[in-house]
Amino acid sequence: MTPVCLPSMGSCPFVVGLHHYLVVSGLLFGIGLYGLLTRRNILLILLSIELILNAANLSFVAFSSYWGNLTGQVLVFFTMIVAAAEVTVGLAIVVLLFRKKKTTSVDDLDTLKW
Amino acid sequence: MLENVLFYILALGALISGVGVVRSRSAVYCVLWLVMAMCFTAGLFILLKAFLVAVIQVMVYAGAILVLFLFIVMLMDTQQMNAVKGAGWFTKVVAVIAGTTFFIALIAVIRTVRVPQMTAIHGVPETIGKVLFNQFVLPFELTSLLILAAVTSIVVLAKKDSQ
Repeated sequence: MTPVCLPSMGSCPFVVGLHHYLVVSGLLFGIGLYGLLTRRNILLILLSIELILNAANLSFVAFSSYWGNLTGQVLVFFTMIVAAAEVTVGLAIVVLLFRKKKTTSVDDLDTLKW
Repeated sequence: MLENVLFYILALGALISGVGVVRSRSAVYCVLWLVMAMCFTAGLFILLKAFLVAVIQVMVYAGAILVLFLFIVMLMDTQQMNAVKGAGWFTKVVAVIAGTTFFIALIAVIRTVRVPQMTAIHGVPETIGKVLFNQFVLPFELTSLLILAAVTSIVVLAKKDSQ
């Protein structure tokens, strides 16, 4: 099934193409960045990082699919593995911080600030 | 045509869930919104014919990583956690400006991307496995080392203080 008009031509912008996925990915990244900067709870900062990684994964898969190259999808697996390792270690650190300092607010965890 | 409609529904769902992640008051709701965002993104992956990635996304990301998050959120004192006050308006304005600027910069990059002829490549386990175990054997083995390091560090961190 061939597309009637290419989305890159700009003639029919509602036919979904690579750019649509990239824009969604960019929007998700922006939302994640907003969360990363506004959240004061260390756990929710980790959660925003997950959202950002998810946005990056989306653009990886979009490029991979539209360029007919599976390398992007393999890279998504590596991203997921790294994210899993990051989350487990990060959560362990958060639990330890909560045990010792009785808080999860980054405003109270300022011993490295001077 | 159906694909277009599905794309808009899934993309809208993912974006709304993303806003839910960053705007929700309760930490538990944040995690649940992120689970929804992951599931919507998995739907987008299916539209992109990346079936294996979609399955792994739901199973590993939404199923394992975020459940781990949920466990930790519920283990902690939620009263105390919800009492963490949010950022001030200045930080919020800065964050909005940063996010928008980044998005506009990304749009500028995206506009230069050329769309090649759509080749329907199916990300099924067979094809992905061939790429993974031929081209990417060394990184694949190195990730096992990374996971081993993560597991070891967690065992060390979770140990009771012995001093």
